[in-house]
Amino acid sequence: MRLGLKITIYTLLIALLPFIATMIITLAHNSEYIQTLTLNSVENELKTGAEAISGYFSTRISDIATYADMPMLKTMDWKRIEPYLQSELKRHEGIYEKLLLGRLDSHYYVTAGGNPAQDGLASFDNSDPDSRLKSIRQRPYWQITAGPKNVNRRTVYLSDPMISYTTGVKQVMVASSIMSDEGKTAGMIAGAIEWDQIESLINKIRKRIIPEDIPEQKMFLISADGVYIYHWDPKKIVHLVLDEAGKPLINEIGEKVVSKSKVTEDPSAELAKAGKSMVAGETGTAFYTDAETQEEMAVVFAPIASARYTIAIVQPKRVIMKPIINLQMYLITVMVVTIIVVLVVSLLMAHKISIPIITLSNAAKQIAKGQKHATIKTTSKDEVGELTETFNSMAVSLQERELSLKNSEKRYRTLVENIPGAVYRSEIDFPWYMMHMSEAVSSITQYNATVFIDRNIAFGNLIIAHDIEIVEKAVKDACVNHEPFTVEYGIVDANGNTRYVFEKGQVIYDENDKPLWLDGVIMDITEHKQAVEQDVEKGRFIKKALDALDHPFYVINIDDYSIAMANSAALGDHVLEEGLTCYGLTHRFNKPCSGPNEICPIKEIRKTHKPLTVEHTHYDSFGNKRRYEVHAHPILDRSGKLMQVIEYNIDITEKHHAQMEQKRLMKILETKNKELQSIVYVASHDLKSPLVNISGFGKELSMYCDRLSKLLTKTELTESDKKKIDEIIKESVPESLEFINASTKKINMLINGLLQVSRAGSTQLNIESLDMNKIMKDIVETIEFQAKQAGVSINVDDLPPCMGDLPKTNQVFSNLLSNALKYLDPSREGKIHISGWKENHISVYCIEDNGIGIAPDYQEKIFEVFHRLHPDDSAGGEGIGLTIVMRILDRQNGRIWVESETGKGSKFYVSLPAL
Amino acid sequence: MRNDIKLLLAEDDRGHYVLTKHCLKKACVENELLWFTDGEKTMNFLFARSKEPAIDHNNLYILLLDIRMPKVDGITILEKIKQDDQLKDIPVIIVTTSNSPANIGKCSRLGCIDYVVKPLGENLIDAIEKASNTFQICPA
Repeated sequence: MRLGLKITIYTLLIALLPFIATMIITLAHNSEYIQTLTLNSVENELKTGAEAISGYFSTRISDIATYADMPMLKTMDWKRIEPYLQSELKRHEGIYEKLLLGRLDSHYYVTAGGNPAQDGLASFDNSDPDSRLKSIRQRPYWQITAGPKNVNRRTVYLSDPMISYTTGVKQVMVASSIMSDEGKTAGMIAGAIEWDQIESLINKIRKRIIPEDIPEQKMFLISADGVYIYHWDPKKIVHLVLDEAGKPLINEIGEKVVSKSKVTEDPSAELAKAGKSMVAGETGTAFYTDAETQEEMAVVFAPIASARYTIAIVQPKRVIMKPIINLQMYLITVMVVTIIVVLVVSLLMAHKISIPIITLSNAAKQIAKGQKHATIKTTSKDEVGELTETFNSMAVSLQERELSLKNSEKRYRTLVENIPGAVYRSEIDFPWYMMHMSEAVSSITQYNATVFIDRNIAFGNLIIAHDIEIVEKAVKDACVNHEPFTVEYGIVDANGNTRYVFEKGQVIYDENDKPLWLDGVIMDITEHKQAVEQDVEKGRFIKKALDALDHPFYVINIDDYSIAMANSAALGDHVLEEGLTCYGLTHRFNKPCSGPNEICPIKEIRKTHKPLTVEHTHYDSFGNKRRYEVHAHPILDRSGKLMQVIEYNIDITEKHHAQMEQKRLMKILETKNKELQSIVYVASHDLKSPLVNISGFGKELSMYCDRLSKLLTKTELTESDKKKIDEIIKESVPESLEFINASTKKINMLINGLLQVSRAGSTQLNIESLDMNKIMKDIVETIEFQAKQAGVSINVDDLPPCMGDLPKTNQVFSNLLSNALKYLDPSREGKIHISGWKENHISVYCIEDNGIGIAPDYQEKIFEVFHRLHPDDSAGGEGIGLTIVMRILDRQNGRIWVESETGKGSKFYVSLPAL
Repeated sequence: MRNDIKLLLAEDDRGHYVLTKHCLKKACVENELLWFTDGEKTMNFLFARSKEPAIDHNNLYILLLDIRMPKVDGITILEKIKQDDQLKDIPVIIVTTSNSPANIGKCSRLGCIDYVVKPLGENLIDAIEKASNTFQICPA
């Protein structure tokens, strides 16, 4: 089915299904409802009518019953009764046509006149005195109210419509038994009501309950026996039967023949059945098919209680259903219109949707056939539009892809031809005749490819005899396992040379898994093989060389710490086997090294990929500790991935021990030095205290001697005693005190010297760059006066700068200059020359004098503490100057040395770090 | 110099005490001199820590303080005095045998009014004069 048609049908179905469903439900529901509603309303109308009629008859019955109860009537004396009845007749103004007083013998009196000759009873001819009396024996109203069957029972009776014997008029009789005071039936009183009167009442009621616009609605009444007493068809109603001459037919007892129809005997069985319900006094509705018109009819009936009649309305079913049919017509019209509209819309929609799709479909067919197609125009921006655009770009990319496929095929061919190996397709079995062979084979075998393709030579026949088996096995396994195979073997080329090839191929199967042929490539690996052999040779050499090495050397696989290779020095009593790890080999541990004391080089190199040297304690075959310097180098593959680590170890046990010893000694030295510093400090300070006392009290003592001497002059003593005391006070005591004073001074000086030396070794230094020209200028200025007095000339050259502590360096040069001044030779004019230069990374300064000089034996001693070369000379001094100078220079990475010649002069050299 | 100023001498050496007394006498300084033989006793007096007679804050004092003393050294005492609100205004003269630049610098930083190196003589008298002048600037 075409797309357009499908869309149309689906749209129609989708649009109409709910609509039709709604319609059907509405109709089904409404028709029943409307029918019930209509019939109910008719029934209600009917009941109203029935009540009206019933009321009428009730009044009549009560009239007659009232007469029957009158004492006058109980006398049955017509002469007395007649005037009353006549007046009553008038009072009711023609309701009753006549009143009848029936006797128990069935003869009767009547207000219409009787036979005077026969006591006023009604006779066939009242003018004839002998006329036969009329009898109402046959009349049901007499039989029921006064007949022998119902004697002594008071009964009121309303008759069916009947034809008067006398007048031939149709009438209804209302009768009541007249009971004597003794309770016995005395007679009966009856009133005849003209049917016309009742009929006009019924007509009035009919007009009221049947709307004029429904002429099909008709009404009928039936008596208690089911006889039609009111009907639209006169034939059905009780009537006189006429003869051919139009006169009433008379039966054998001289009465006019009456025709009756009963509803219970209606030709329509359904109506007859409903008639029985009517006779039974029920209210209801029934449907039946009219016997004559064959039309579906509905009858609604209700009893008229007081008369035991039943009133009914009949109408064709189609009248009831008329509103429903109208609704149906209306809905069908709407449906038809809807179908047409939906059809038009869906056709339009189908057209709108299917046209671009059909265009697309045609274009796709075109492309499928491989034809080029023009770009389809997009007409809308909806999904179809998007589809079209997608299709366009798809078509373009399809064409491009096709083109690139062609190109790639071309390239592929070129590639195959240019592959270094020979690409082939061969038979499965030995000797492997070739179905295809690329030209590259000629460079391997020295035969042209055509030689193999033309089956002049089978490739298998080139293979070295003992390799054929290997190749056969590889191909066979590949057939079985459905996997590609690789194999290496030797061939003999056209020139008779052996060449080695590598072959990689796979078996191609048909759909039934039957091997068809082999596809693969053959590559010349002769040179590679030779190279490998060379490598193996090289490897053997390296192994030998490494084994000759005294240091442990081994290669560790990075993944599991396993030893890939190790020289004899590394292995010791170990055997190189699987499961041997670096930590097992060197430490005899069961897990890798860790912690700061045994840093694992593998773990570090994993992080850094850089060589590393650590110190480890390893254990030799005897379990002895050896200290090793472990040199670790990473081995990376081409992608930079860490594969292995090479380690070689240098035994530093001895060096390590020496280092440890040095550290220990350094520590001791440091402690001793600190101790010494504090001893010097404390001792010198505490030594001063007693000295203060000695010198202090020495002075006091000298003062006391003076006083004593003065006092002695005033005292009277012998000359000899005076002389002796004088000698003690003026010579012996002062001489002793002088020694004490001199010694105290000497000790004080020594202590101060010690303190100075101590401080020179402990104070904080502030190393900075020093402008030596400026420093020297300042120093020379301070001693200029002294120099002038001594007649000394001082010469200063341009000096290079250096690194040092300013005050300490100042102290060094001040000290040296003052020494130069001190130890001048008095026999010649003093000259001091200061020069300086830069040598590599140090600045050297020289203070040269032409003084007394220092003998070679003492040149080293001058730097010792408290050493003075000239203890007695006037220059004096503590003997610590040069010691302090040396200590200061030591601490600044400087040096001092001396060159001197006795009698000629000295050169003191000072070096300090240059800038 | 005002004769209501009391001199306090913290000095462990008896000889030094005698020499100090003679030195003062020679210079005619006749103020009352209280002698403490170690650092602890000095502290007890200054901070009223024992049953011995203690400092009376209504009086004026000048403290002559030796550095090297048993139990508590002079630098510690100087430090405590300068940290105490009631004592910090007492002028302290360091009187010691040490001429170590380190000690001189330290005591100066801690706030001593003068630093006198033994043997004593005019140097002590000058220092006491300098100390007593601080009271005249701000009469009690």
